[in-house]
Amino acid sequence: MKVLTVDDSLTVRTMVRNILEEEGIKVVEAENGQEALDVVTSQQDINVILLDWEMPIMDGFTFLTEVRTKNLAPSTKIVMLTTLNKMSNILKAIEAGADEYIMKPFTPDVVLEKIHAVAG
Amino acid sequence: MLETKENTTKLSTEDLRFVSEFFYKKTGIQLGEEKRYLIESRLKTVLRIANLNTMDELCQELRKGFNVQVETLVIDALTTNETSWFRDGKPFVALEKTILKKMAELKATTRTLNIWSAASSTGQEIYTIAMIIQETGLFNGWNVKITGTDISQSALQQAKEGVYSQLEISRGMPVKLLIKYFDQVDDNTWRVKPVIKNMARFSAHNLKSDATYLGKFDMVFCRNVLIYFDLQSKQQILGHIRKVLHPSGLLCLGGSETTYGVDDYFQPIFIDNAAFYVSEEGKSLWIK
Repeated sequence: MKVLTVDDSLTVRTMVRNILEEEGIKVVEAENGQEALDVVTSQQDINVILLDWEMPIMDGFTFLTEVRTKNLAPSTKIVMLTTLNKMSNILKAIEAGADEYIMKPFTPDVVLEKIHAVAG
Repeated sequence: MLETKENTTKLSTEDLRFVSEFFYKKTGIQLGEEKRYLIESRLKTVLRIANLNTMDELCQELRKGFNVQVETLVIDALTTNETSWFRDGKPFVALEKTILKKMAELKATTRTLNIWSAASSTGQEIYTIAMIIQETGLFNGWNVKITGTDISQSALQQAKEGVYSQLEISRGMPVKLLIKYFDQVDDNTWRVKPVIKNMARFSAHNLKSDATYLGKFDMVFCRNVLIYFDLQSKQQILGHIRKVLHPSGLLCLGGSETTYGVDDYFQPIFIDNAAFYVSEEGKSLWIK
């Protein structure tokens, strides 16, 4: 399994990497939506994207909309991982094509559970 | 002093006291200093995840008071989180795919469905069952009752209120069901909607006591409870369950529990790869 973590916080990316690698999951990283777009168009084998919402250059929601409307990674599941935890945000992300939603601060078990749940 | 792997993962006496106080302030749970080994072993995981080298660094992060993510990792590591939505999912898959369809046929004349969650704790199991029932759409207009019992008053109180923190709601809950069956009260609080809550009723109950006052049930969930009792108490508990379970009814135990060698009334059967227990009389109804 290969997961792309998109977050502008190095701390978050590192924590997620540590959690996932311990489970034998391969991890690639991007600091914002634009970088993530480059990754998904060049690497076709990403199973799950963990996506922060608020980031500079291109935010997570713009990335999500771009990927889903242009059908860039049809078999890749997208899990939001964000501090935006209002029901309105959750609804907006799911309507735009996110498959799951993790609210920050997160715990390791929830991150792993959601990844496995969407990856099937 | 040279830092060795050994002493970087040890807490100083002062830090141990600090961690215990921090945890108590956040959760109301006392972790005495005699739990040093447990605390240290669990915090090692946090060091690894957060890329911190020593317990001293970790305590410095906590003392800053604004690293919510590290605080959450510490609280989570020190808490025994046994309760989640759709916990040990196999029985719930069986419930959704097979059992409820069969129940809808078996109970079509009375249009009643009674389920007992015998150790309902803070309510996740009961509301998980309620969501599955609602999702099937088979029981609209039926009298559906899910009875939750527990010995802990505080757990029952939370279950009755159906109110959960962000961390509690996250564990095991698919986002689509969160949207459908919960209202957000504030940033950190979620409440179960009436459509689900109205199926549930709660009662304080000791499993070693007679349960006939609760009524008769089509299914009993008594998961991860028997493991805590000796053989005689297990027999007593299963005896009480037997009296309130319809002959065609199903008993669901935890994955590591069995009635084998405890109570021969219950026969194991497998439905969608999940083990259930049923009377000899009821067995034929469930085995194709």
